Amino acid sequence: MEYEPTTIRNPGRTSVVETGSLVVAIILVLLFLVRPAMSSLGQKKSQLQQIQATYQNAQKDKEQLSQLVQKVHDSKADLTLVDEALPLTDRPTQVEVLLDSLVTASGMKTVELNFQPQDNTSVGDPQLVANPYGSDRKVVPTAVDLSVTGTMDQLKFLLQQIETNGRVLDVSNIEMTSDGKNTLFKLKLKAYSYVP
Amino acid sequence: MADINLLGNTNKGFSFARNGASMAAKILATVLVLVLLYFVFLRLQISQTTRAVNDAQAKTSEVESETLAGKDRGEVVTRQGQVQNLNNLLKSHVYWSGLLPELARVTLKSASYVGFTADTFGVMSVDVIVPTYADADKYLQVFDLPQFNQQFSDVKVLSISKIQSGSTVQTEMKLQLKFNPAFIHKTLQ
Repeated sequence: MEYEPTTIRNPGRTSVVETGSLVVAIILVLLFLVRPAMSSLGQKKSQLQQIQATYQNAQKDKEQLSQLVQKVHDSKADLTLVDEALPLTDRPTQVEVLLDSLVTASGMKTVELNFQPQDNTSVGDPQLVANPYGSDRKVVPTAVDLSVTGTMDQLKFLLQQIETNGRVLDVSNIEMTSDGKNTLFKLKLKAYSYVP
Repeated sequence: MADINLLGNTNKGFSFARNGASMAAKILATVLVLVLLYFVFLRLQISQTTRAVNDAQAKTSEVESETLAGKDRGEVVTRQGQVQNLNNLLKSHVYWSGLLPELARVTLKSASYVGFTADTFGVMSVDVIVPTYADADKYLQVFDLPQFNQQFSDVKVLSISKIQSGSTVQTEMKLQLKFNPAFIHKTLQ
């Protein structure tokens, strides 16, 4: 009969090793799984909050736009005045017709009425005709030279007409010359339009 | 002979330690399982949040596209720009008609203007005719009076000369003066 030495397992030592292993496992799981997951979740939640805020803003913008559209549709009379003050077209003839009528109303006589030629198209732009509000616009001044004859009182009346008529016209320079009989007034004006 | 358990005390301590370690192992195993369950819970949360993020992004893009593609948006944008620019133009709008009466107020009654140039920066040149040198002197004195020099100042006499007008001889002065630019930027009363 052979003698086989039996290995006596020490239960106390085994439990300590298991306990230690479990502690290490818990620490490893916490460090390398739970912590990154918590961090990732935090980031995702923050991202969600930001996107929800963006969504709410987009919704507000949409509502605001629909309100503004309604306002524009309800303010046709006011917009007519705005269009008169700052037209969406820059036909120089509009300014000439206006100034000629103001000069006539003041009792003065027009000697000269010229405008500075413009680079942009005045009328007949097919794109603009098809989609009048499709392009970005900017304020474009049109320089006008106006020479008139009359009295100082008439000039004062003409200036008042220019300052208070429906269209915004700025007088940038006034020149007066007199030969004793006739007084000539030269005005440099700027008319504005809001065009592409 | 009675049995004597000489190792009795040792065995009790050993058993207690073994049981304690075993209990700790069980508790730790439970904790480990709970931690793993928490990790699974976190992964599920991440997955749900990611879906929510994607949904919110899609909704936001949809709303933004709808807003940008609105058929009346172009008109609203144009009108806003038009009104804003009009307000800016009105802020810098000039009112010359108030300046001429003010110039008349500070002008000697016997004087008359045959030349006049003014710009919006507050510089004015005038050619004024007066009957005599004495009147020319009176004309200039006015600008030293506090009640008359509120809007006009720094008068420079560029030239004084005698001119023949028909049968009368008059005095012509060429002057350069400053006026308050704010005066032509205020609205009419």
